[in-house]
Amino acid sequence: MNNLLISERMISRLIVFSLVFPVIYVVLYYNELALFRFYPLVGELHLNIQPTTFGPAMTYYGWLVIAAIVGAVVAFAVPHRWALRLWAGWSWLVPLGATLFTFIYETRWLLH
Amino acid sequence: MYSMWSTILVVTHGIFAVGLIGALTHQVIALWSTAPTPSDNFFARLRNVRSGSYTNAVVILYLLDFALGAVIYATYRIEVRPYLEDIQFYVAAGSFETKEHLAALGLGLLPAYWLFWKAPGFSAHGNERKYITLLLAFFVWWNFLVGHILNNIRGLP
Amino acid sequence: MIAFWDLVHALLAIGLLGAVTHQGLSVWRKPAPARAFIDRFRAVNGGGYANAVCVLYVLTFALGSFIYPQFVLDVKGSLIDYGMRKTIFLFQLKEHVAVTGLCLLPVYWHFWRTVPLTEDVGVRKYLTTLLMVATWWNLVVGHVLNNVKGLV
Repeated sequence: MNNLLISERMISRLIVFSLVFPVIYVVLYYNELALFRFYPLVGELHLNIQPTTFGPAMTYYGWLVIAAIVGAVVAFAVPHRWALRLWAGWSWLVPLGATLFTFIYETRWLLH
Repeated sequence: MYSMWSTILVVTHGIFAVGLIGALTHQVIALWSTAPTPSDNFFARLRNVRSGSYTNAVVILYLLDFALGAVIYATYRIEVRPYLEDIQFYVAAGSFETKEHLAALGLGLLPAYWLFWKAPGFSAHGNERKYITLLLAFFVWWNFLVGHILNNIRGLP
Repeated sequence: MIAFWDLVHALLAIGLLGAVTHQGLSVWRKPAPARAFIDRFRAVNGGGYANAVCVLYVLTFALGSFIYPQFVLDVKGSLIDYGMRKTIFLFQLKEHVAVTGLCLLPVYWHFWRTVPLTEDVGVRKYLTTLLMVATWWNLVVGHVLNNVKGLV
């Protein structure tokens, strides 16, 4: 293990970020909640849904930005002593749960 | 007509993915095999690597590959996805949806992945390191295979 | 089914690319402690890759030959229709480079496995580099072509 100069506080923030990000991301795509939409046909970002003449809307970037912002805010808001109490196993169980949920959710494409 | 730029970007995206697959596969095999024994065998050398040394390369390659994927996604959305829906190839369109979600989940996993490999005080968490690395390798392999198949069905113009 | 064989062809090519790139960069490396990632990438025992490179090359080539007729029917025809002569030129080069690499394999294997590693270092170096460049060329061109029109 490298002896890197990284504070314990920053370590706990990064762990919390990795735990919050997948949860928020799943909630966002499940509920189609996006901060903004990108319309690739016209190359424009919009906060509101645009008419069909704008072409297909992409919500992906909007999900990523919100998940990253919420993850970062929670990571900085959670007190260090709370973060220390987290069980290390959550670090892979939470993303695994999000992965399984994703596969189950996307089976909707098989039902067309 | 095919644009030079989207071809360059999609090929570069593929090459970064190849590097990522190589690094993560070495790392996973090394993690899940027993203690290294000196051998001239090709497969023994495949697993007898210093797995920790791949971590920074994996993080950098993942970020670069993700960024490139995010750039070409817009072209996919207007050129490929409508085509898949037109020919009612919903399994292919759905596979891409899983690819985009797993790519995002992998991005969120990167800080934890890096910490469990590199941060001081994490050397005792061997199991967490193992499962996180396995999960990331699964994401990368899945995304590569789905990307390749989709590219077969219809490339980026 | 052709898409499946195309995918296997690509996966074998990736294995080949990894092995021949490790080996190809190792022959250009001067002995020194490997600290940076790229140094560790190159600091491998090149001789140990020769058999794997030969086996992977032959398998990749065989699968490529197997899917080639379908390529001629489905892809090359479309490229001609679109007037994409540069792309056809790239594939023609890929095809010839692949055969050249195949012809190199016996001599490549000989210089890695039967000649002592302290002798003919230059020959081994250039043969391996040639095979590495051939593999990279074919992978990149294959990827470009697949992007233009894939096998389905």
